[in-house]
Amino acid sequence: MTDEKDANAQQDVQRWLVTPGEVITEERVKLGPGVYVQDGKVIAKVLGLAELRNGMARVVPLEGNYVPKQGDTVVGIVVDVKIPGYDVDINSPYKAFLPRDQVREPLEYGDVIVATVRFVDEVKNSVIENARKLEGGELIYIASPRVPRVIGKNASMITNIKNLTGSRVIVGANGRIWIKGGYSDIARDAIYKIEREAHTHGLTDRIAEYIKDRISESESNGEEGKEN
Amino acid sequence: MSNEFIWEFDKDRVRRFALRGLRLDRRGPLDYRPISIATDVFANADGSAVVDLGGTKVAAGVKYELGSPFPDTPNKGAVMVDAELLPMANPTFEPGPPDENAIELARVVDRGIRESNAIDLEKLAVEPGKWVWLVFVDLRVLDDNGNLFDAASMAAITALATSKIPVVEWDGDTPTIVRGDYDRPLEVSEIPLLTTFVKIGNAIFVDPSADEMRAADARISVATVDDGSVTAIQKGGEGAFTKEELSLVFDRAIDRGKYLREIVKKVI
Amino acid sequence: MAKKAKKIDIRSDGREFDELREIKIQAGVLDQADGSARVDWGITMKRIAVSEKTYNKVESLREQFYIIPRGKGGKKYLVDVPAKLLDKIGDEFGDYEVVGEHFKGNVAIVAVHGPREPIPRHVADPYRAVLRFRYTMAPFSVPERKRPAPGRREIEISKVSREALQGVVFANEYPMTAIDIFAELLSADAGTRVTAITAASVALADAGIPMKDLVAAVAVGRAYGHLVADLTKFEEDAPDAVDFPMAVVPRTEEITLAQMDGRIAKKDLDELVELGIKKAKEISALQRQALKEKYQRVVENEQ
Repeated sequence: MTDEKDANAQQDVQRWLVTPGEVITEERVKLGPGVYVQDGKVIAKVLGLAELRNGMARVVPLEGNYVPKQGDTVVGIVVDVKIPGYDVDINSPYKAFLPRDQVREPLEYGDVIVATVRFVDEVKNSVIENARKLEGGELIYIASPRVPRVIGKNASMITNIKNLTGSRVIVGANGRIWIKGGYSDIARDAIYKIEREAHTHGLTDRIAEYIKDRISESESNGEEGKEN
Repeated sequence: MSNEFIWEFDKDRVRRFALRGLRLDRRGPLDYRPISIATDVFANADGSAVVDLGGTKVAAGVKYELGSPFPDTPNKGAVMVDAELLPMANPTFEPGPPDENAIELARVVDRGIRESNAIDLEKLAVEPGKWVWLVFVDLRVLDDNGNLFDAASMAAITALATSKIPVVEWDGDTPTIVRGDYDRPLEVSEIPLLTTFVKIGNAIFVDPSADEMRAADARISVATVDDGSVTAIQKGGEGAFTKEELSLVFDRAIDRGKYLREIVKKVI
Repeated sequence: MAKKAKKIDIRSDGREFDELREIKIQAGVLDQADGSARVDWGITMKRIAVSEKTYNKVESLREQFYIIPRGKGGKKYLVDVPAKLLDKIGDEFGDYEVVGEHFKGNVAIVAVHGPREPIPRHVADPYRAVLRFRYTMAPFSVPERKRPAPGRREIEISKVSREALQGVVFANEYPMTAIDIFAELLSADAGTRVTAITAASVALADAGIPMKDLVAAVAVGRAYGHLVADLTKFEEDAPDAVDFPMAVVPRTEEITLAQMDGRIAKKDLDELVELGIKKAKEISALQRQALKEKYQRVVENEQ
């Protein structure tokens, strides 16, 4: 935990809020996502957090709609049933296709699934695989660029949330998050809080505090907070 | 990205909660979301208001124009309500002329005001038989988070109640409006307000959120005034209400109308 | 008459000739949109109560100043005067009392929906996102009620605004999608299209759309013998008026919108372009501040 805190602190010193068109650096560095070069200057492309670390410049976006990437875990909703498979909405301008052999049971319109992105073509349509149906629970969505904060370094943040609330949580890179059981209300509120404060530091501890406070408040009120 | 497809999933969840009489956002069945109203917001309007009802945002503006009276009411002015569901408000709203939803919204808000006799139309005659005030109330829906009816109704009556009638100058017998120069405030004797309920299964909730609107079997909006009279009713949606449910709704509408009226009165 | 000559050197609303009006920008104002912004762009008008004698003088002052008589208010007479003008020529009004103030200007709310699947599908471009811009004005935004349907003016503004922004967006990162921009003017007072474009840039950034820079727009021109930045309606109506709205990419000083109305010598035109670029950079700083403030608000609320 302490190592992560130090790492975060180090990162935070070199992370700052930028808008499109702002110059990040004029030094020769490697280019990560979110930047472009003009006249020898590295310039931010998106509204986000600029990072200059280990000889690389990049901007991590704070906003934006999800574009599928190979290997991503996504939570999707079946929107069309066809013979070869299913069209799945993944909260993106781009659709995903799930071949029938990639899911154990037949699916219907409106079913919620979690799957992995196998392949993305040049116009960003994707094929997803290893799909599993999710029953019950609640589906929320946050801005997909904030998802890494919800997961945390080495999944520390999400593990914390799951352990403290006892909820099952599946986080899609596409910003869709499925929550079931435990203190699901509190898990949901904690995730929204992370989304709002994604650009701040000290978040891991703050969220743990927040969840603990909410749970003790709920218990002292004798609230029916815990779902089974 | 619009999350239209999450809506089917949400509908089930809303319905499951409603079976137990519960709402997703933990409100009681008779609770309104937070409301804020700003008045006198737009310099060129003769009266204006912007209402934020739980995230639903509607702007209303009043403009007074001179025109000839309708042939059957030569001594009366007229109030005309128009509504636009701007495409910015909801990813499913398409640009173009008002569709059936926009037209319904405008007409129901209009009826609530007209039937309450809140405005004495005879006082809007400038030269009886020839020139009357045409009071245009334009509603612009900026953000749809559910329950456009109540937000629009509050915006419309607030804009009217804080509006001022312009000065008219005469050149012989031709009148011209002196824009920006006002003669007197519009007298509004009632504050008619719509209260909207949705029926989800057997539950009836006031002030539906966006997902409650989508999950609803039916919806009903009721306009009431201070003395408890009902001045307009509009049932929407494909489901049905029993007569007991209607009676319950009318009672609640009167009470909730009073609640909204207190809020509106504070800004008028 | 020395005093009169001095007056002519004061701008009709009290600003410096190259000074922008008051501009307030807020990012992230709508919930349903992917990105949004609100811009209030105008001047503060003070309402003052003056004597009858002063009121009768007002008509002559109106020839060169943006002053609006408001008729009788009780025993006194009411006049609207731009706040900055009042500071400069207050003694013209004798013993006056300030009874109120209001904002006279443009209020625009712009929403961005996208990148998203376009409807109708056939407008999709396999190589890049297609930008669509829809500019509308509320009927109550102007002094005489405007019919709600977009007219020819709105359609032209929609087109040039889209063209002002399309070039800076990294559209190739989102093939087969549409980026829809909806600009609604709730209050209008000269410079509506530059207000809309300025707000649209902020809304696009707010939606996370990648761009080379934030485009800033301003109207420069001439009125009453002076080259000016950011014309008011009063200046647009001047007999020698030149109205030149421009949109600029501040970093590279490239110009993505240029329209002009009026008659002007090339030398003055070159000077106006320089002025427009300079002002666009000032506006761009306000745009950036608004986007960053959105996150400040969060930090404050949580503490």
